[in-house]
Amino acid sequence: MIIVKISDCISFSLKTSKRNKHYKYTLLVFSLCTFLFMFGLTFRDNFVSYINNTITQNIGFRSLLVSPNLESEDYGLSKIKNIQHVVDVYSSNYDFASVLSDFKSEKYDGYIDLNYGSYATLPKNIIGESFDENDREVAICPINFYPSSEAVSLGLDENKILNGYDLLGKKFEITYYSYTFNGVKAVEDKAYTKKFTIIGLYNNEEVMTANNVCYVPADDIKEINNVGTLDDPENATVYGFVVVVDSKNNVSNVANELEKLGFMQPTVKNELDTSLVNTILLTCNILITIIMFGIIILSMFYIKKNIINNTQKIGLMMASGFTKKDIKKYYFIDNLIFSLLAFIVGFIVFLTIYILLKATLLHSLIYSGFIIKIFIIDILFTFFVIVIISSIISIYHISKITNKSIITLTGGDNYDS
Amino acid sequence: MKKMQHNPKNKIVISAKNIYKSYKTKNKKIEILNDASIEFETGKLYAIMGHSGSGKSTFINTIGLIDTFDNGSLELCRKKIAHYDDDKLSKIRMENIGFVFQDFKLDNNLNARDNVIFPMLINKQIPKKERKNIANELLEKMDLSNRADHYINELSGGEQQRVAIARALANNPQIILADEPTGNLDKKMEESIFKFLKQLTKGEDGKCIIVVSHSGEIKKYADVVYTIEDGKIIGDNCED
Ligand SMILES: Nc1ncnc2c1ncn2[C@@H]1O[C@H](COP(=O)(O)OP(=O)(O)OP(=O)(O)O)[C@@H](O)[C@H]1O
Ligand SMILES: [Mg+2]
Repeated sequence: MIIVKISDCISFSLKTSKRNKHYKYTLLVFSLCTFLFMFGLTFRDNFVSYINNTITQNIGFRSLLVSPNLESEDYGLSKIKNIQHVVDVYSSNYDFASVLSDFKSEKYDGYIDLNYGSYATLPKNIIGESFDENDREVAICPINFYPSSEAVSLGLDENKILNGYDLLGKKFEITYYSYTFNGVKAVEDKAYTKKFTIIGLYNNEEVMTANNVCYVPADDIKEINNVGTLDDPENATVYGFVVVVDSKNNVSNVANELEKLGFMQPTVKNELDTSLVNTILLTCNILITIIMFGIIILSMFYIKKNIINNTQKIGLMMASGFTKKDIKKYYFIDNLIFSLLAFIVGFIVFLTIYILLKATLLHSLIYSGFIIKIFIIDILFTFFVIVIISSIISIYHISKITNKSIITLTGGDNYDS
Repeated sequence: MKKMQHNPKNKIVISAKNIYKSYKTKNKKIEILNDASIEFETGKLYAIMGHSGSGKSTFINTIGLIDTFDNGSLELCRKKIAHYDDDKLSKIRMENIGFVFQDFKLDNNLNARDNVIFPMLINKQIPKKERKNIANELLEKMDLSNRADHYINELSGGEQQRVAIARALANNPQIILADEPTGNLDKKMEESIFKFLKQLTKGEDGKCIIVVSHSGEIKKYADVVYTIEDGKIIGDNCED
């Protein structure tokens, strides 16, 4: 038989907690646990998502570099094109060119990268126009353009970022050089210039490239790189091929296929230092697990203590006519409110710090493609650990409430609470 | 033994017959109550005396249904207590009995009024809105109107015990069981507590008050004094 009402349990549980210092300290500890747990989970998941995004979105992780097959007529180009899952093959001579642009000013050093743009390598969501292999001297640049070699570093100066929309349709000029060999080293010989029109914009965060990378047609890169090489442009050696695969998962298949066809040691263009990634992930997981078990052990102690400390009150409740079920309900709600409060307080602290960090320290990271967010699953998991698990623990301890506490009530023993 | 006058307005609320109660420890059995028979009625203040370890607390816990007995029969407010389950015993306690303890057993984190309201949470007869009024009335009865919002540690020992008495009255029981209610108080406070308890036996709704006490002072206020000796309950002559 349960008579006591939930609303009464809540109101008295809150009333008693308001003046209880010990309660407040414990609440603080549990809130801190919530905060740390949430923080650890969010850090880990953002890290994992950053790594995954980098791998899935940056084309370098599904591009293979192979040496040319010198025995074949076309160095093996046509053979490679026929391999399943290969979407594009091009000479590494026109993979990209780093050039000085007329964006150079007090703010920027003006160095930008021109990347090989083709139907396979161009970003998917282009604002404005795209181009095909017949076009020349057109460029697709980042919406948040940062024409400087600094663009590769994390944490860009937000105020220096150029708005791509202001640049759409405008021209920029690049300077590149031919070289001669003076007997000791290559020295700049003649300067050449070339103008590109910005016809389209792309979001470099989506494809994980730096903010100073523009896509231009292959022939333009070829022209720039041919001038820059010491060899005779007509007989330029093919140093290798870049083989673009349709997805990261097929990269190893294509690599095997290439080896079968006699291409030596195909290598993935961008590789992640997996040992570092794994170390970071392992550390995160260990910390999260420690915090989780910490919380569970703390809950066990706290709830047990809460019941034991209240033996006198439980005895009084029994004497007053509360049934055992009433008392169990009361203490279940009491513990539930405690863990809910701990969760809410901890979460608010987390949210505040998260928002502050995002607005200050981490703000510049956003322009480097580092998307920071809170994962709903992390909130749910934290809620599960803080509220649900402790409720289960409280049910266990509450189930042990017996008639014994009532007997301890009388007899004249002096009791200090 | 002095003959007790029976006032027709008074009802017998506790009737214990041939109660046996013993505690079993590892190697022996301690007999506490041995064929104890006694009746209590409303409108009277009873004192239970006896030397330490004589079984006063055991007796009061037994008739208050917070401890069991081995043999005998017990009637509370005309209900025979036998093989009742916990829920039923709880209900009887809620409706009929209020406890007062030596160390008050108040919740330090609640104010005086909320301490009094707390037992009302399980009384369906009292609407939520009424609780505060009832608590205020009871505190007024205990001369604590101006202390209702005070927290327990802001009250003197005597005041705390009066809050505890108000709490015992929360669900308007007919029986108040007080085990050494003045054990932690000085003589002046003791007198005032006894006066307040005595006051509760007066009037239309006079309660049955049973007080366990070591203090001879209680004899001044008690209508009847019993002594527990060798497991028996013996009626004393009571000179007012
Ligand atoms: N749970 C128990 N188990 C075993 N023996 C008990 C138990 N409770 C009480 N006793 C014993 O029963 C006897 C009576 O105890 P009780 O507490 O009723 O005495 P009392 O008259 O209230 O004494 P005091 O005046 O000191 O409060 C004592 O000898 C005590 O040791
Ligand atoms: Mg005693």
